[in-house]
Amino acid sequence: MALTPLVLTNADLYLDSADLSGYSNKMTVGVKQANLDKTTFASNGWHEVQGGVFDGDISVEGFYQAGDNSMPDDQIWGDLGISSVPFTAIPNGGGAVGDIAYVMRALECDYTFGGKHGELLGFTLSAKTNAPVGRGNVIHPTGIARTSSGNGTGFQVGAVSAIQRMYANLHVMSISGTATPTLTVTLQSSVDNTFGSPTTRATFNAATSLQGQYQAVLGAVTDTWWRVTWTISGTNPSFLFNVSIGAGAK
Amino acid sequence: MDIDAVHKGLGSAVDALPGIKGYPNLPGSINPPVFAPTEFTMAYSQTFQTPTAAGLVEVEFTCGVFTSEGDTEQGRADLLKFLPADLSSTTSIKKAIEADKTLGGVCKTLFVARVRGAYRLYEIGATSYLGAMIDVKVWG
Repeated sequence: MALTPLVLTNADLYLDSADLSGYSNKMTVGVKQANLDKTTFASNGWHEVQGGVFDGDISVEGFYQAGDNSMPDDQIWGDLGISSVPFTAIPNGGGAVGDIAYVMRALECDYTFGGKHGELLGFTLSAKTNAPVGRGNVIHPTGIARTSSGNGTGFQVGAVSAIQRMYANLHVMSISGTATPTLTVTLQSSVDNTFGSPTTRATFNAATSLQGQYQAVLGAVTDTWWRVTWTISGTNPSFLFNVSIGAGAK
Repeated sequence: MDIDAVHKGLGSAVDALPGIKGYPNLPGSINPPVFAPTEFTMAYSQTFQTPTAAGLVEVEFTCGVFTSEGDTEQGRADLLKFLPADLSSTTSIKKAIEADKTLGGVCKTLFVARVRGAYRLYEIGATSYLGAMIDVKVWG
């Protein structure tokens, strides 16, 4: 296959309710496994290793801004000390349905801001995952405002084996309206793209404020198609939110 | 970022100062003291773009300030009057531009970074003018 290299210009990074994309310019997601030496005299002169514990880490660099929980400083500061902050990384595509997404739950380990006089104030954030990293797809796009209850577009993310879970992150990034606008998102699977008789796999808590949530669906799930549905209440409600899911180790 | 709107914003900010005419672009002939943005350098994608917004761009505008025909004592005095970093000055171009760092909402922020080539003679049309270049960093 011909090389189609990716220029990293439109990565999406969601931390709880903050869309860090417009504030950041560098991201890394790393997954590694300890390699345990099991070399013996019978190893024919080569090291032999056994896979050990997995480890995941995330780092972000960007520009400082504070104001509310949609901005980096408020959200990062508020999440310090919380061991299960939903974090979704989408390397390319802008958060549209089907974009490849890495779904994580992480502990912020290092938050630094500062810079040189005359330059934009920057920040760096490092976090360590606290659960297996799921690799899958966006199933609800970031940029489409929802004002009434509805069903999302299905996407064939794939089945979940008996030794896996389907991890799901919900990021509620914008809320407007009166009379307590409320969003409740449900994750469904189906045997095909018609969603004729979908199975509800998880329901996120009702959201009335900017926030992130995390769910895990135990395998095995033989259905390969997934979507979200949402119910919305309130007066003139409008929500921007992203849901990404990905299968990972149990 | 609307480059033309930034040019207009820079010209208007300096035009409000006493004793100097601010233009959004450099006229073919001038009657000093005059200020005008001339050229710019732009760096795209300083942040990742989002579904609803392009990435941050950083633009460095080079602006000219010209104070006399030829190298004159009055021209040098005027130049020094407009270039101070002292923000208590009532004639500082830096202070005038940084008074509204969004130039009325056309950029996210800005910073008057440096003065270059002060007391140099710059040719506009067929005439040499005493002046200086001012670099303004603008993000939007």
